[in-house]
Formats: sequence, C-alpha cells, structure tokens
Amino acid sequence: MEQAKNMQQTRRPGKVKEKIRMFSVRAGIDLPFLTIVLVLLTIGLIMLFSASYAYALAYYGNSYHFFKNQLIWAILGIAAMIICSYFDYHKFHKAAVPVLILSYLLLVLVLFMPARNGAHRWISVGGMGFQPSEITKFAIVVSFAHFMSISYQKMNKFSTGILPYLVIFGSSAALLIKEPHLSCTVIIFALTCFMMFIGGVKARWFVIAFVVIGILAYIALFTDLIPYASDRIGVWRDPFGYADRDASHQTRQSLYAIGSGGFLGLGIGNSRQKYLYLPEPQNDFIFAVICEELGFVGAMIIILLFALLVWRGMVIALRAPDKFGTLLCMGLTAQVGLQAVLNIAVVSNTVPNTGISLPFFSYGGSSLVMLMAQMGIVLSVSRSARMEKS
Amino acid sequence: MRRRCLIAVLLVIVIGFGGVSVQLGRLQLVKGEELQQQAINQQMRDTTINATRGTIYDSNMEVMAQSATVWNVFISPASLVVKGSETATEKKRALVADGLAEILGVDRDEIYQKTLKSSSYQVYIKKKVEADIRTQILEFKKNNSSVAGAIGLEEDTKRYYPNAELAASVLGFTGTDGQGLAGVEAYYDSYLQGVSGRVMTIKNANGTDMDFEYEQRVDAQDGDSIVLAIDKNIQSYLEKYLDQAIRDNAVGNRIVGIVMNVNTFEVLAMATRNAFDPNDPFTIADEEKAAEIAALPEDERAAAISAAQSLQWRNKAISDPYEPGSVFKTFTASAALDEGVVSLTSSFTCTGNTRLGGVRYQCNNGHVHGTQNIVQAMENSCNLAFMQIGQALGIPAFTRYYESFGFTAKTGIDLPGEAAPVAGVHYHVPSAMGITELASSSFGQSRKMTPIQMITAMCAVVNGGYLGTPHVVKQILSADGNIVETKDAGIKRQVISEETSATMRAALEMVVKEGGGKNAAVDGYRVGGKTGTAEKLDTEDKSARIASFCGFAPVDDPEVACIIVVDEPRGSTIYGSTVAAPIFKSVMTDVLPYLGIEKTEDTEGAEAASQTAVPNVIGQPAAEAQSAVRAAGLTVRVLGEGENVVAQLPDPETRLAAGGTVVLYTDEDSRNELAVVPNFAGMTAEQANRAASEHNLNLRLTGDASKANAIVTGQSIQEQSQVSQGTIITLKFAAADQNE
Repeated sequence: MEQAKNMQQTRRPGKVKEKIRMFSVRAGIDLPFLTIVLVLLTIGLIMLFSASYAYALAYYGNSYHFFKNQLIWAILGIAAMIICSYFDYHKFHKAAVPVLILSYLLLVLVLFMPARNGAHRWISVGGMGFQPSEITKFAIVVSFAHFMSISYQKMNKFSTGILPYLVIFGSSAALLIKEPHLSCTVIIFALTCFMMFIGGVKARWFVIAFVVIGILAYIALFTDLIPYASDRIGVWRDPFGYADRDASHQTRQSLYAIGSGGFLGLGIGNSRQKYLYLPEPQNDFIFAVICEELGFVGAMIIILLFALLVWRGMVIALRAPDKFGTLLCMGLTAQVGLQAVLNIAVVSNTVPNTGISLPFFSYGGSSLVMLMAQMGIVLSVSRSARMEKS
Repeated sequence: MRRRCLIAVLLVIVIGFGGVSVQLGRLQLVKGEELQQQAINQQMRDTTINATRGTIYDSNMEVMAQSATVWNVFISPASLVVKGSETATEKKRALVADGLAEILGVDRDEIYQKTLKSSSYQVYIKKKVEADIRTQILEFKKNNSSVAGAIGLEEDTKRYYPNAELAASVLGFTGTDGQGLAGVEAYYDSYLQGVSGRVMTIKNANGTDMDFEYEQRVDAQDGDSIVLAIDKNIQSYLEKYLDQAIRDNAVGNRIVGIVMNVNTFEVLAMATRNAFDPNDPFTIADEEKAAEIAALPEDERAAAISAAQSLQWRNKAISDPYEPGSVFKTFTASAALDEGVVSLTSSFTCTGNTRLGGVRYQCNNGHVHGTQNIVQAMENSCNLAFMQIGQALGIPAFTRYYESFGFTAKTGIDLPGEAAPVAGVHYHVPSAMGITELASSSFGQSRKMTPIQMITAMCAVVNGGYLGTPHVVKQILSADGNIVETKDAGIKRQVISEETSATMRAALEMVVKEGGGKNAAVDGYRVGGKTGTAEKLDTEDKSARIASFCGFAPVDDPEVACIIVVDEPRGSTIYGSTVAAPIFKSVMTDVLPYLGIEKTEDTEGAEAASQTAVPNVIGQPAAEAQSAVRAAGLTVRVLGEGENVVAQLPDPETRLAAGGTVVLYTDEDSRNELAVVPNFAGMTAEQANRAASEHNLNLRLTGDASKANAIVTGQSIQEQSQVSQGTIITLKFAAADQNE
C-alpha cells in the first residue's frame, strides 16, 4: 500500500488523465479486465458449442442443447456481472460472516441430498441444481478478506493469524470431503494458502505446511492407504497401461485428444475425440477438445488469457483503496486462475484426475453466473480503485 | 503486501500456468504424433476392398478359373435392441430370424440364437452367397425397414472352376481367404492376388460413421490374369484316355500324362488322375476312398481325410520320382552316340545273360537278341547291349550327360511342389558308382526321376539337343489386358548335337515301327518313342510295376512329346508296351490332328475302302431286302415271320467290314431274340470275326488290329451281356509283343 501510494505520487498528472480516458468508460470500471473476461467467455461459448455438438446430438437429439442453455446463462452472467460491478464491495464486510454461515449450512444440507455418481454435491431446487461448493469458495475468499483486513496486524501470531483460517478451511474441507468433493477441497486449500500468504503469514508456516503436505501427498500418491484415490493415482502414473481400462478411459481419451491437436490443431469444429470417445466433452474435459481443435498455439493463447486475467486482477487489487478490496480482488481472480490451472493439469494428466471445471468454458449454468458475479465484484473494486479517483 | 501479491501471482503464473504449458507442449509437440496415431487407430474404420483375383485362361483364352463377387450376410444384433421394450425387441429378432431363414435356408433357431448377442455389431449368418440371394435380401430389407439396419451384406469373392476336375492338379485351388493353395493358383499367387484397397472412414465411439466428411480411399488393384500354355481340349483328350486306362488296367497308384511342345517347352496338358474338383477341393473325389474313410472309427477319420486330401492334390507329374526303366535307354544311347564312343555301325551281342562284376544279368525274359547295332538294341530294348554301351561310355561321361539332361536338378517348372532329385537316393553320385551301378543305370534301373524331368529330357533328345524349361503358363496379363510377362522356352543348354538328335529320332521311330513300341503307332503319322516297365524300388510288393511310354511326333519335324506313366497297373497286362503305349497312341491320335499337324502316312485309306455302308431296307419285303444286303457284300440274317422288314441292325448307313452281319427283323417279337456276347479277350482278329458271326454280332476293330500278332485287349460290351442281334461291338487290339 505504501509503495502503491509512492508510485502514484511519482506519476505525472497528465499521463494519469490520459489513462483514465483510455481505461474507464463510465464511472471507470477496468476495461482490460472486462475485455479479458468477455473474450474468455466468448471463446468459451464457441468451444462449448464445438465440444458438445456431437454429444448433444447423440444423447439429446439436438446439437444446440448445451450451447443454447449456456448462452442463456452467459447472458444472465453478464447481467450479474454488471449488477455486481455497481455493487459497493464494502458491503461484503458485513456479508462475510453470513456468507460463511450460509456456506456451512449448505454444505451440511447437501449431504442429505440424493447422490449423483456416488457423491452428494448438488442441491436441486425446482429442477435447477447448483453446487454449494461454489458458495464455499466465495465464502472462503470473502471471509478471509474480511478477517485479514481487520486484523492484518496480528497475522504473525498463530492464534490470530493462522488458527482462525485453518479452522474455517479445515471445517469446510471436512464437509467437502464428506460429500466427497476432492477437487473443491484442493481449490479451497490453494485459496487458503494464497490468501494467507498475501495476508502476511510468516513464510516458515508455509515451509511447515508444505512439509506436512509433502508427506501426506506421498502417502496418497505412492501408497494405497487412501482407497478412494488409489484408482486415480494408478491411472495418473500410467494412463495407457493401467489395468482398469474403464478407470483410465477418460484420461486416455483426453490425452489422445490433446496429442491429436499437435502444434496447430485440427481446426475449429474438427475434433474427432468429441465424437463420443471423450466422456462429457462439454464439462471438465472441454480443454482437451480445445487442444485438439486449436492445437498447442490455441491452448497457449487461452492459458495466456487466464494468466492475463490473474495479472490484471492483481493490478486492480493493488490499486484498490483498502486492504479488503485488495484481498477480495486477489482472492477472486486467484480462484479463477487456480481453478484453470488445476483443470488443465487434470486434463493433461499433470495431476491425478479429479472433477474440476474450467471457468468460462465448462458447461454449468449456476457456476457460470456465480463466476460472472465474482468478476463483477472485481470490476466493482476497479471502479473504486485509485486510478479512477485521481 | 504488494510484494507478496506479486510473488503469489507470479507463482500461480509461472508454476501453475507454466507447468501445464510445459506438459501440453510435451503432449502436443513431442508425443503428439504417437498419441494422434493411437487416437486414429480407435477412430478409423478401415474397410478392406478386396482386389479381384485374376482369371486363369487356357491357351485359347477359355476360362479355367475365375473369381466372382459373392456376399457374406451378417446381422447386427445390437441394432435390434429397442431400449425399454422387450416385446418390440423380440418382434424384431423374430422378423430377422424368420426372414433370413427363409432366404438363406439356414436353421431359424440358429439365426435366432445369434440375434440374442445384443452387444455384437457383426455376426455372420452365411458366407459367400450369390447375387440372387443378395437381391432377395435387399428386397427383404426394403420391405422391412424396421430391421433393415440390422442386416448387412459384405462383399467377398469366390473362385469358380468351370471345368470342374479338368487340369485340377495344374490349376490347384484357393483357400477361404482367396489365397492360392496349390498349383498355378499358389505358384502365381502374387500375380493373381492383386493389391487390396482400403476405405478409411472415421467412426464415433459407437462404431457408426461420423456425420462429417472424412474418407480416404485407396482403390484395389485387381490381380493379373494368367494365360496357360495348357490347351483345354488337349487336356480333356489326355484326361479322357487316362481315365479310361485307369479302368482298363486296374491302376493301383494313379496315372500321369503330360503333353508338351518339344521346341517351346510349353506344357500343353498335364494330368494326374484321379484328381479332385477344385471347386470343392476338400471333398475326397474318389468315392470308394470316401466311403472307406466314412467307415473308419472317428478318431482315425481326420488323419485319413487329410492323407486322402494331400494324395488327391499331389501332382505326381512333378512331385513323385518314378522308375523309368527302359525309357532311359534313350539317354544312354544319345550320350554314347553324341560322345562318339559308339556309332551306328557298332555292334553289340546279346546272349540272353551275362555276368558282370559278380552280378548275373538277364536280358528281359531271357530273350537272346544276338548281334545288334544300336538302333536294333533300342528296338529290342536289349539290356545286355545297353550294358555294353554304358561300359563304352564310362562313368564320367555317363554322369556328365545324366546331369546335362537335367536329371540331377529340378526342371524349374512353374508349379509348386516339384521334387528335387537327391544324390544317392534318386541317382548315384560318381564316387559311389562302380561297374555294376553303371551297368544297371545304362538300361534304366536304380535311378528315379519325375515324369516332367523325363519328358523335358526327351524333348531335348528330339528337338536338336536343346534342354529348356518346361512351363504351364504362357503369358501373364494385367487386369486391363496388357502383357506383363511372356514365358519362353528357357533354353538352358544344348545337351547333344543336332546330328545325334536326328539319329535318335530315327532310332526312336524304329522302336515304334519295328520294336517294342508298336502299340504307340499313330495312323498317318511318323511317331517315335520308347517304352519302359520297371519294378518299383521302394516297395515290398515285388509285383508292383511302373509302366511308361515317352514319345513324340512327327519324327521329321518334332512338335509334340507325350509321356504316360502308369503307377501299378494291376490288370491282365502290366507292360509299358501294352498299358502305356496304347494310351499314348490314343492321346496323340486326337492331339496331332487337333494341332493341325498334317498326316504324312497313308494307312487309313485301305481300311476305309474295305468297309461298306449298310443299305436301308426298312419297309421292304424280306426277300428283296435280303438280296439288297447281299449285293452290298454283307451277310444277312432274317428273324421273325412277317413279310416286310420292320427294323434292321446295324442302322442304315453304318459302315461295316466286308462280310459283316446285317440282321433284319420282320415282326416285333423277333426283336426279342437276343445274342449273348462272348469273351473276345486274347483272340486274334480272325478268331474274333468268327466268334462274332457265330453269335450274329458285328465288330468294329480298333487299335492295332491290322498287326500280325495283335490280340484283343478290350471289348466295349461285357461278356455274357445280352444284346440285340446285329449289335456292333468295338474290340481293342494291341500287339502281343512284350519286348521293352
């Protein structure tokens, strides 16, 4: 904050004025960030159509099935984003604790919902379903931003700087594992680390944490002590040779798709793996189809867009007028970035397979609207960022 | 905080995005091709388009083997399943089972059981059905659209041999996948096969074609066609007489015949009988044998069937070395004359028997031939004379010529399974030859060769001395009719001089004219050849013989050679001169005119002149009819009480020898008076005529009836048969001379 202030002070007024005109339209939301979001959303919609086309035709008799739904949700999402961008983010100070409580309530409630594919992840209301874990991720970011911004002086003490966050994370993670929802657990873990690091927790705690995680990861990956995960790990280690062909099917098909893309890809619409080889190509494995159709070049462009999004999110965060804004903004964009990284890592078999969706791309209405709303909050932070004010 | 934000974001970007980018680069850029190949393997439907197998023609472009398109009928049981409705599924299954059972004649239950394999997409119902069945199935599919998608037709090919058994051992046959398994089909398989094409389409994970266009087509390249040197007509003459001979001579171990062009080394006909039907090669063609096998206990049957199959497929003409016996004297004589160790004026004395190297040799059947020149020695087939000729030649020269005539190597004929001569088994190596081996070799004992080696060497003897490469294929044509390859005589070397060859032609003609080969003489043609009768070397059965004849025509300008090898004749006579030579004669009598070779000798004219046409007297009063027949120089016999002739035997215009009997019937009852056929075997022509007129029968004399010592060796109607009076019985005569 100090540095930011200094930086601003050194800036020449004329140039600042110019920048304001360039980057703010009305009441100054951050245009680069908005552009990146809309570009990702547009590419996401196009690729969703391409990826889901054959699957939709085969199972729903209508090639446009997924695309049509997602388009409607995208429009709703844009609306949610615009609304949230006008929303004063400081209101979340007061909302943080209720959101966290809501998250807990939903996480408990979801355990009583009927299982889908052996996991209790969905709450259905009137035919519409959503995953409470989406709320949980948001709740972690908002509550951490809230607590850290009011007690950032005490971050060095274990009882005030670490313990509360570990409790929030631990209790949420426990409920998520109960579902079970491993991927979300991993995401909120990464988010927790990310937020605590920015919040100012001493580096040694991270060293301790990573040693512990290292040991746990070793146990999970190289022993058979956790049966739930052992199949996934076996597949991860040897996707083409793993004995259970059904278990390795999705990963194998994903790798075939990625490999088929080569440098320049087969061309948009020309994926062959989407023709019922790759299970549910519109969901978690949509990036494999992207790799197949757009090649290494296309994949890199999309990864770059995500990286830019995170970077621009950080720029906005650093220009936020207060710590809460910074933390909120960092957390929300980091969530998108981390989820994208994890999704691509799963699709490319860099990490063991776990169901995780790709923001802006994967099919799913409620999560898309939620995501867009969060992007709206980032824009709301940008609106009050210092550059517009000056 | 700013610093920490930067670090955190950079960590996410560098480790997170950087890490996955590296992994993607590895997958797409490094392992991309490998993964893409694996993906394509699962995505591609690779359908083979079979190339049409080439046709095999005879030398006149008559089809000998041809492939036709047939279809395999299959069903896709998975496509019959109606989700959620067992009754609808059952209905479809029943419809398919009923429909196909009726069209294909396959058991309905069998088809129904196949419809139950609901996870399968291709279950064959019947293979290789023909076009009419296919039409019916298409019609059925049209009328039953609900199951049309579940019934499939897949193109396939089937090999047809329109002439059934004709030339079977040369043509060979093909297996179920169309690959040549024997004969020309196997030897020229790579030409006939062609190159299969492929259609590659992309399918989805359910196995159906994807709805976007991707198709890569590599057209099939049809196989080359083969034009045989074999002439279908000559082949059928040869087989006809071989089959006849098998019956006449109770042949125990099959019979071989080859007809060859002496100059081009083209095989005009090659047969091993009994053979098999290449349309159905696995069925035992010999019905007796088949019945015998059927009677065996089950555990022995499979072995017996496979033994019988390989026996019937075996082309003895090239695969089985045999004992040539005296036919081999041709080569000893050729070598000795060519080497100059004997001349036409050299004389050889036969005293009936002799001792050499401690072994006693007897001339055949103890004949004493006295003093002979080399041609007379050939005529008499004198073993003692040939021992002396062999001694004059000596072991090195004998061996040299033996090798030069091609007896120590395969001829290289373009058929699979040619037997390779083995030193020490089929012939003596010089180091293992002593005076006695040379002696027995000189007159054709203790050596074996294949019929194709023998006739090839014979061609060299008579064509001016040139040894070529026998071949059954004349030309290879591409699918669009261009010539791919033309076979020539494949001359390897000149074995003997033109002069020696001319001398040998004359000597061999004398064998047929004056010597042991009289039964081989062909009316109107100058023919040469040599007979042979040999004890079989590799059998316990001391009575087992191989009777053979190898000859050629015409003598002045040889064109055709023919060899007949009868393995184990078990009839009334077992000699080359009485068993094999007459077959040669019959074959050549048909072949020489067929090839347009002009007759040079006038022998038949006299015989024809002595024959008379029977006048037509039907409807005439009996007395008038009698005088009309008598006026024609025939004897007459009237049967019945009627006034007019109601029928006559033989029929009007039939040609009868002077003095033949014409029977006139004057009423219907008289037609029931039958004559009993006597046994003519062993009679001379005169005796036979007398017996015939005693029985009121007529005769037609065939074979060497005109020769002084000819006797009956066969009759067209069995003895004790009851036939109408006046019936013509054909008698076959052969010279009784047993000289080899």
